[in-house]
Formats: sequence, C-alpha cells, structure tokens
Amino acid sequence: MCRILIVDDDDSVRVALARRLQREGYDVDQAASESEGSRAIAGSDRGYDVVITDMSMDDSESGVRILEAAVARDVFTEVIVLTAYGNVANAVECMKRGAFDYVEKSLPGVDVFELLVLKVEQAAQRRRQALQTVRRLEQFPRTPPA
Amino acid sequence: MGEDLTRSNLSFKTLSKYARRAVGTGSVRDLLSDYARAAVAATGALRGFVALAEFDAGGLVIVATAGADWTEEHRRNRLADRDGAGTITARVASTCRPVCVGDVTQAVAPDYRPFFPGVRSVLAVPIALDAEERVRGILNVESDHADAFTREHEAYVSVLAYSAALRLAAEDLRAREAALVQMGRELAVAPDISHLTRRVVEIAGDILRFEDCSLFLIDRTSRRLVLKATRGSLRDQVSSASYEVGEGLTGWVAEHGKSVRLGSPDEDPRHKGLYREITPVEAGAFLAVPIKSMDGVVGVLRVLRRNSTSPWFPNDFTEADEEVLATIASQVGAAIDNARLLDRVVQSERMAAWGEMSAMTSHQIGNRVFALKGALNELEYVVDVAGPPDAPLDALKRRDVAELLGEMRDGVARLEEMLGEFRDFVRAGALALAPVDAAEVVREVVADTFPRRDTMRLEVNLGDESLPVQADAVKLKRAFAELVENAVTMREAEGGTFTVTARRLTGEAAQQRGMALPAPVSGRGPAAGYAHVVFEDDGPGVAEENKERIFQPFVTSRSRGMGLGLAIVRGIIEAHHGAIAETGTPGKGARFEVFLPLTAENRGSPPGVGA
Repeated sequence: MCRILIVDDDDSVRVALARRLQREGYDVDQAASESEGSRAIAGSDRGYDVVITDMSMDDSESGVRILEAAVARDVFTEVIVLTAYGNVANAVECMKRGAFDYVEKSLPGVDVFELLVLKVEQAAQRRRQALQTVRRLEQFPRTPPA
Repeated sequence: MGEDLTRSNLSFKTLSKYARRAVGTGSVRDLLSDYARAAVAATGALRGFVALAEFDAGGLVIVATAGADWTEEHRRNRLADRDGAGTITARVASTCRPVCVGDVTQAVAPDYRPFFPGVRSVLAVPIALDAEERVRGILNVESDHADAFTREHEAYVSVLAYSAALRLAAEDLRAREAALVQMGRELAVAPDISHLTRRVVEIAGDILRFEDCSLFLIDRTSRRLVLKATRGSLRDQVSSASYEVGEGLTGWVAEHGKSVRLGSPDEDPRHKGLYREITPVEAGAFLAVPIKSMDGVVGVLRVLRRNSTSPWFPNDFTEADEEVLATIASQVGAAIDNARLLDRVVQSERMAAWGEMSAMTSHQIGNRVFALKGALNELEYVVDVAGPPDAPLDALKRRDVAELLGEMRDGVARLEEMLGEFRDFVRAGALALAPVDAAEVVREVVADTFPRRDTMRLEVNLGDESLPVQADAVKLKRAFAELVENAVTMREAEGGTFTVTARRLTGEAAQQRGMALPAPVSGRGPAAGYAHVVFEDDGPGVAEENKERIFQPFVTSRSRGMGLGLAIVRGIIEAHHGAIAETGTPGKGARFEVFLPLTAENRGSPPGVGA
C-alpha cells in the first residue's frame, strides 16, 4: 500500500487531509511539527512514498528542510509542498530542490482536496516508475570494468 | 591743552588700556564698573554711573557706579522711566549724542531732579556703536562745580562709552549665537513637532526680547495657518486659531514667503487683527518671518513688542532682529523636514510590519479555510454516497454528517475568533478615555474569570485606596482578563496559585524597578505616581530569552488563536501611557507587572503604601 506522511502544525488541516487520503485507500501518517516530521522520515524503515508538508511551520523555510530530510532518506520519495495562497517564491525554491509539486492551500474556486488527491496519485505513479526503472537497471548483468 | 590733560589725569595711555579691556574675558559688570571709575577719575568728577537700557520696558537701569555718596536706594533708581523729553538722559537717548551741561540749575528743564542735591555739571554720553543704532545705555559723570567738564573730558568718556558698547554688542552676539546653536541642537532631537514648536517660542524669547511670540504652521489638509505654539495670551487658542493663507499680515507672510517688520502693525492695510497677543493700544512693533521647508513655506513665526513706555525710546525690531528670527525660522523649517522624513520612515516600518502581519494572517486564515473545505468535501462525499437527493440518510450517515457539521461550525467559530483578535490588536490604541479606578477594574476581572476555575487557588491583594487612572475601562478589562486567562488556561490542569496585586507606587519607586516607563504626559506621570498591578502564577514561567518575544504579535505556545494576545495587552497598556513587562523567575512562575500613570487627583494619600 502507498505510504503517505502529512506534516503540518495545524491539527484541523492534518485531520481533513488525512481523512480525504484515507478515503482513497492510502496509508497515512501524521506529524504535527517540522521536528516531528523529520523524526518520522528518519525513523521509517522503508521510507514514505509521498510526503505532503506545509511550507511554513517553525519558520518560512520548514517545508524546504522537510523536503531535504525526505530526499536524504529515500531519493525517490515524492514531496508535495503546501503553501499559503500567493506565496510562490518558496514554492519555486522547493521545485528547484526536487519537490514533485506545490499546492496552494486556499486557492479560490478550486477544491484543493480533489487537486491534492490528483497530485498524490501522480506523485505515487512517478515514484513507482522510478523504482521500476531502477529495478530494471539492477537486473542488467554486471559487466566488469574494462 | 597738553597741560589740561595732565592736570585732570586724561592719560591716553590709561584710555587705551581700558579700551583693550573691552575685548577681554572679564565680566561685563566688572568692565562697566571699571569704566565708571575711570570716567570719574579722568574727569575729576564727584561721581559717575553706567545705566543700561531695558529694551522691552523702555527704561534705563543703573548697573555700575563710582565716586561719592552712592546708596543702594540711589542704585535702584530707574532713569527715564517716565521722564519728559527734556531731561539730560532723554536727550542723550533720543539724539544718540553726548550732552554736557555746565550748570543744571540754569540750563535744564524745570522738572529736572538730579539724584543728588548740589549737582551743577553733568556730562552724559551714549553707549552706542553709531548714531543710527539704538542706544544701549548711558555713561554719566557729574560734579558739584559748575562747568566742570571740557570737550576733552567728553572725548575721553565717549571712548570709554564706545568701548562699553563694543563689549555689549559682542555679548549680545555671543548670546544669540549660543541660543541659536542650542536651538539647533534641540530641534535636531525634538521628539515631535509639537514639542519642537513649543521650544522654538521659548528659545526665541530668550534671544529676542519681546512681548510675545507665536508659531503658525500650514495644515496640510485645510491649507490654513494654524497656531501651534505661543507664549502668552493666545495659549488657549493653540490648534484652533487659524488664518487663511494670504489673510492678515501673518497670512501675507505665508503667501509671499517674505518677512514683515513694522513699527505699528495696526496702520498697515494688510493688518486684520484676528488673533492678538496684545491689545492694539499696546502693540508696538511686529515682526514675522516665513518658515520654509523643502516643500516651500510651511508656516510663519511672528514676534511682537509692546509700545515703549517712554515716548522717546524706540522699540522697533531692527534688521539684526529680523536676521535672527529668519535664522530661527530656517532651523525650524529644517527640523520640520526632518520630523516629516522620520514620520515617513516610521510609516514605512509600519507598512513592513503590516506586510508581515498580513502574511501571517493569511497563512492562519488559509489553514482554517483549508480545513473547512476539507469538511465540505467530505460532507459532499457522504451525502453523495447516500444515493439520490431525495433518498433518506441512514443513521450511520446521519452521524457522519452531524460530525462534519460540528467540525465546520467549530472552524467558522475559530475564524470569527481570529477576526476578533485581529480587530482587538489593530484597535488596541483607539481608546475612549474616562476616569477609571484601576483597582476596581482588577476586582471585576477577577470576579468575572475566577469562579469557574476551582482547580486553582486565587490570592487577591487590593488595598482600600482607589487607583485613579484615565483609561478605557473596556480595553483595560480586556488586557487584564487576557493576563488572567493566559495564566489560568496554562495551569488549569495541574492547579496552582494565582496572585493579583494592585497598589500605588511613586514615580521614583517605579523608575527604580528598572522599567522603561514613558515620559510623563502633561498633568500625569511620575508626579502622581503609578498604579502598579502584578499578575503572578507558580507555573513554569517565561524563559529569559522569551521575556521580550512573548509580546510580539504571532508568537504563541497555544495551538488556538493567532498569538496576538500579549501583543494586544501591550498595545492597550502602552496606549494608556503605561508599561508592561514579564519579570518572573524562569522555572518559578510567570509575573506580569503593569504600570499605569495615576491621575493627579487623590494625591493626599501617602504614596508607595497600599496593599
């Protein structure tokens, strides 16, 4: 089953998001702060498939550090960053560092939950493909260096 | 003639010595006493004196005497106060020429009364730099002999008088320069424009002797010249008295950016006499200069002198006076530019703070909305799965729906709470002030918030005496209640003791507590002392590094709210010209100390005592 970690210091945000993703059949863990999130990532035995993190928790760079922690643990973990509406600068920074995508939390007129379900699906798929590619590469017979 | 000089001690050697002394460093009084003695010695006079003009009153005051028979009573005599134009002093002062009378019993007006009986000859010379200048004073020698003084005596005494005039002029210039420098210094550090304008009229008064001085500034919205500071009778009309630009003499100065200097302002066609510092009968001289800043004329500084009490003693403002006033005005203009630039800096800092605030707020509100949308999304799902729109909800779905609705109701309530908090924060400084007893407010707050908390022990130390403050009772209650709630919600679970103390504290005692208390506002502040209210608990307290930080907006250890609570408290207390600080020992408990300036009434009760 696809494992997801939600990192957000706002209880109601976490609860709403976890409920929606569980409805889709995902296995969802929650972390209520940046440090809790980092610990969860480091402590997981097979890594998370997708990490959804709030951008601004302890400070406005918290999301970037969660992204770094996740990629350090498993280079194929896909990270989706949640940002405040209109705060694109940090989101762009995350994209540069390899985030899968960013989603603005309160995008007017958009059902952000459906959007997130879609993004998580795409992220999970990209991870599966990446892992398959790696597996296929590993199946090639090893040739000794010339 | 050489023989004459020797006989009467008219030594030019001593004269040059005296003249040199004029530029020395000794006091003016000593110098003038020396000159009086020198004049007496050189002319063989019986006695002599120096009298100086009082420009504002129009009289002459004896400042140095020499020779025989002087008593304190003689020295207190004021000359030319009400004398007619015919007296010797009057003639010297009005013509600025020496007067030498060989026999006063013959040659002077019938109402002439010398200080001393038996005086026959009088030699009086003006103390003035030139005949055009206003006479600064008189050097006078007299003798019991008729025709005691010669042309040579006159020349000698005139040189002494001229030297005295030089020194007096130098003193004046030095005093003006010092005052201008002082003004420049003060204006550079004046905390605000109203303080600045008040100091301007005070310092200008010290430099230019005048009856009254008023400062008008052009209001930026109404474009009218509004009285901002004055020394005398117009005080009650500060901020209300105003001229149209172009109206009256003051308005003319503002419109044309030029000075006006007049002997009798009432005769000028531009004069309107709307706001008078002195009655038209008394008005002697008028001087007004424009205050210019980078944006052109921003105001007018005007000074007035009363009519001289002696008809021959002119009281007009001189060109030098005008120059001084223009210098003051240019400094004021520069200071106003500075103050307005500073305003702009403060404004932009405030905008930056708003920017940060709106970012924080939008994040917080964004989260609430996100959660609401989540509940809505789920609700749609639950209802959808239930089947067609008219199908009945089964009991299980009904419970889900009720749960989600509860969640949404909670979400909306939290949004409202945040808006309320935000509004309180923004409006913390908008107060409806009235006389309030701070002790009573504490009592009410405790009564409102405490009965519901039976896990905590409450200690209230309120004396019998009232703590009269000018306050917005509702806002003050809000601030105190926040401090109580803050302690209580954190400690409720494990219990503990909460202590509230309110008492009177003198200004000195408050200062000694190391609080950065705001400067006294007029009529209040340290003179009357402070209401000192302390909220203490025995919880974990506040770590040293957080003592200042907790008062900043958006800092919170609680999961609810926006973290504006203590920022609102500080905002309210500071708007009351008070101060608040957390002074507890980390690990032993939090301790919030509030200081509010008491109003002056009730000062009869002994300070520093109380509960």
